[in-house]
Amino acid sequence: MVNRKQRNAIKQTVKNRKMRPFSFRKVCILLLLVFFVVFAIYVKHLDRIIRQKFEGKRWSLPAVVYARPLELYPGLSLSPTELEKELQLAGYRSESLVADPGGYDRDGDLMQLVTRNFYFSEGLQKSVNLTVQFAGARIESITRADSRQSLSLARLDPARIGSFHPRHHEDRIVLTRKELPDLLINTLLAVEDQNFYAHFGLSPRGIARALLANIRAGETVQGGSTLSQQLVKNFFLSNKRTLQRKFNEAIMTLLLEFYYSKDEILTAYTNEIFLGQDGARAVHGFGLASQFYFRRDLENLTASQIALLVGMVKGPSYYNPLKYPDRCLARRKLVLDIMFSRKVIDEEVYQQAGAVSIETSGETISGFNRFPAFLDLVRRQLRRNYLEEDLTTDGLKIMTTLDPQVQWQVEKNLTETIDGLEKRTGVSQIEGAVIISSREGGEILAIAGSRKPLQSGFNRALDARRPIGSLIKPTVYLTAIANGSTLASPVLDSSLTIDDGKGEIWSPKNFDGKEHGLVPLYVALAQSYNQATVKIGMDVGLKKVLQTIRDLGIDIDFPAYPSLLLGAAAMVPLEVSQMFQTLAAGGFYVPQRVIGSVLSSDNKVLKRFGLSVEQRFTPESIYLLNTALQLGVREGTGKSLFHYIPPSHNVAGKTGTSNDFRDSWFAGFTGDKLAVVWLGRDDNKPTGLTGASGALTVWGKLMQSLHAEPLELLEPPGIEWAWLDPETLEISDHFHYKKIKLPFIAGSIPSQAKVTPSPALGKKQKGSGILDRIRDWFSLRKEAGEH
Amino acid sequence: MKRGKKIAHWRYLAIILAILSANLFLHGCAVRKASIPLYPYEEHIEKSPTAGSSLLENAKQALQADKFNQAEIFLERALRLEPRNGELWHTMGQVKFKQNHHAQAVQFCLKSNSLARKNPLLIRKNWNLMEKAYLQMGETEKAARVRRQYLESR
Repeated sequence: MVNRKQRNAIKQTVKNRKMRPFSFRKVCILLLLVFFVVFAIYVKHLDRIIRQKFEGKRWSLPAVVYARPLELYPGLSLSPTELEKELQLAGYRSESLVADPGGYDRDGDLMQLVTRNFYFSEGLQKSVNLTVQFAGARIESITRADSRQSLSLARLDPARIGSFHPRHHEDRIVLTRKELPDLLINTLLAVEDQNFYAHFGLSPRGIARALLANIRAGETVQGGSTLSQQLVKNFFLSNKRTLQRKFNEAIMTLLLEFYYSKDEILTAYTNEIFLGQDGARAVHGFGLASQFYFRRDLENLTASQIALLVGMVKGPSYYNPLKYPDRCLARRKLVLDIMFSRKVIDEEVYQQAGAVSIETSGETISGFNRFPAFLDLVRRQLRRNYLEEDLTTDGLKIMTTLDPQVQWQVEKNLTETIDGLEKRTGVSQIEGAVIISSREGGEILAIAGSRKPLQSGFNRALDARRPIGSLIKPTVYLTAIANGSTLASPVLDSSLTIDDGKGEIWSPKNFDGKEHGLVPLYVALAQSYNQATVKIGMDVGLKKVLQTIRDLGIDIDFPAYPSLLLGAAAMVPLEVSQMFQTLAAGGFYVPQRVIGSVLSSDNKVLKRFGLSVEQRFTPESIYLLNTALQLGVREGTGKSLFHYIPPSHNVAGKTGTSNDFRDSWFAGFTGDKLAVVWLGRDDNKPTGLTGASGALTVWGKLMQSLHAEPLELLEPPGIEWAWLDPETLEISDHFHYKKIKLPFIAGSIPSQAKVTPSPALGKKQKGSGILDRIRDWFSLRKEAGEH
Repeated sequence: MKRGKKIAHWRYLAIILAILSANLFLHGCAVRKASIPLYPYEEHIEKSPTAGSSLLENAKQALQADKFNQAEIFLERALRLEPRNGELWHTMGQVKFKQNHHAQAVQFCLKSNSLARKNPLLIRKNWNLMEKAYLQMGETEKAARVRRQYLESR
């Protein structure tokens, strides 16, 4: 047992031991230990930052959007000027001796050009040197400059028309170490970091040398940072000159050098470095800088051009060749001196490079985000498949259907025509939208969302939801035809009163305020008679008309009110375009497309938006409706189109005007293209324009400038022909100059009338037009004589 | 009698000349009315048949080598140049069939038929392929119907 005294003694000893101070040595060890633990944690933190960045996605690469590639072939209707404009949009250089990819030389009707390597969906298309001979406004021949081989088809690499940036708008073309030319690397090392391959990230010798130079000069004239340090600074740190940043820079540089090879660091540096500003876009890396300043691939740069770019590393804004050519020239000379003194180049190259004046890309057409309305649709369609983040960071390559030649014409004609209409009518603030697509494939070739093509605000082609007026009528007549009506069916165009579906009485009026009595169905459509249309629509049933609208590709549930039959339903031009696309493609629903495919940054196909078709209407019904739409242009409300396009082009189309002249529409197609035009005011006030006096004029001028092909409707097998007298509505097999020959679905011609030969047959075998009529007349007279 | 016949012939000739001259006169009026006297369409040149056909050839080779996606891309290019070439649409139907997209194969054949004009060989090829596609889809009635059409057309 321990007594109390002993217990107190023990307590005292413990207390004394506790109170005894640590020795200095122990404190130091402890502090050091704490420091090392904290330091280790901090280094680990920096280590994680570095490895995350280097092993993950190093750069946020914007998705790049390309126009359709231009296909050249003998016979193509394209002038040398048009080709030159397209080449400039694609960033080609005009030069006298074309040798490198991305250059062209025009000598009158002869064009020499070297295409650039490009990865399409099917793989790499290699650069080729082409000679294109023109004959007037068409291509006569294409030959390979090297082998003199004549080509039937040559595809150019497409123009880059825009990109989807993340917020900070950095852009770059990422290159691999192999893609970096030796001359660039040697120059960069000679100027920025001579001992790059020898040091361990930091260069004490370099720091000492810089320090000495700075002391001598009394200011900072030389930096002691290695390339690795610069990369760390650019990549991870701010530009603040603080001790903590310097400390972090040193640690991170050492870590970077520890984990990664010199080549990896060098490659990252060349891709990261900031080299200028292109509007809101920051130009990073030598790859993009080469394109931006010289319109050349990096591998094709001359010594003087490389010297210029390397010289800009020190201060891209200060040495900007476009703004400060003198400063830039002096800096380039200094770099060339270093290149020569360190034997990167020999004397001959040195002399030559020094003698060259500052070269930049010269005059080019910037296609960068140049077509905002089209890019808007591209972006919306991409959002169905990709997250916004994927679009701004993954470097996707988006191959679109934009045809710059068509787009330029759309912009020009829309702007000029609206200007003219405003002057003529005295109405101001008229706006417009145009969508134009290929007739069979449904590829959208161009979009205008405003009369000001560069305006990226309200995109009327996609968002202006307005009543479509008479553009709805083809759906009513198609429904009637599909349900047994013929183009000759008599329809009563007279006043009628019906329940509007909302409990009110509705009495539609015709545009001219008149009633036209009994008319054949095709006349009611061609002349756009409202009362006859409502009669037809109500007879066939609103539900069926609504189903036709859905079958044409419009996924909207319109309320089944009778006013729908006269276009009270509001649609955006893009939807109208899809509706008419199905008619233009012969009753086949072809989803309209703006994107062909999406490739990853390493050129793998991620998604293809291929062609698909679906027959939604019988060929015979569509043939009848399209014939009626042709007649509408030939002798109906679209007649004034002949001011721009000859009648022989047989355009099929429909005008549309909404109440009080608020909206002016025209939708129609030629042999190769479909276009929809809308004109109106954003505040929805009247413009005083009908479909014919407004939108049709834009449409006509546009198709005229695009050299649209004539429309030839192919007659399906189940069609028969007969003559109709539009006044008496009598169908017969006798020709009369007042009569019109109409197609019928086989079996629908009244029994008393005889089938007459198809005009298509006559055209092919015996000629057409008036001669055809005379021949028919004679043949009928002959037949009559024989009986 | 003979004289009467002669007069009848002259009458025919006179009517023809009258119609022709009236037509020419009216046509001239129409042109004069138009604000733009000359249309630029005279310069329209037919596309070279070789551009589309060389792509069709490439597509057929890719199809034979079971490179269906490649074939599809060639055909889409060709269709951009010659969108109303029924042969191209039919070959697209073949590609879709090989890709096991049988419903699309049928649709491309229908499209091809709509552009086949009076090319009985192409129409028969389409019906033949449609029959195979319908059978793959288990739609025997439709297969039998196109089979009948095929046989009737021979």
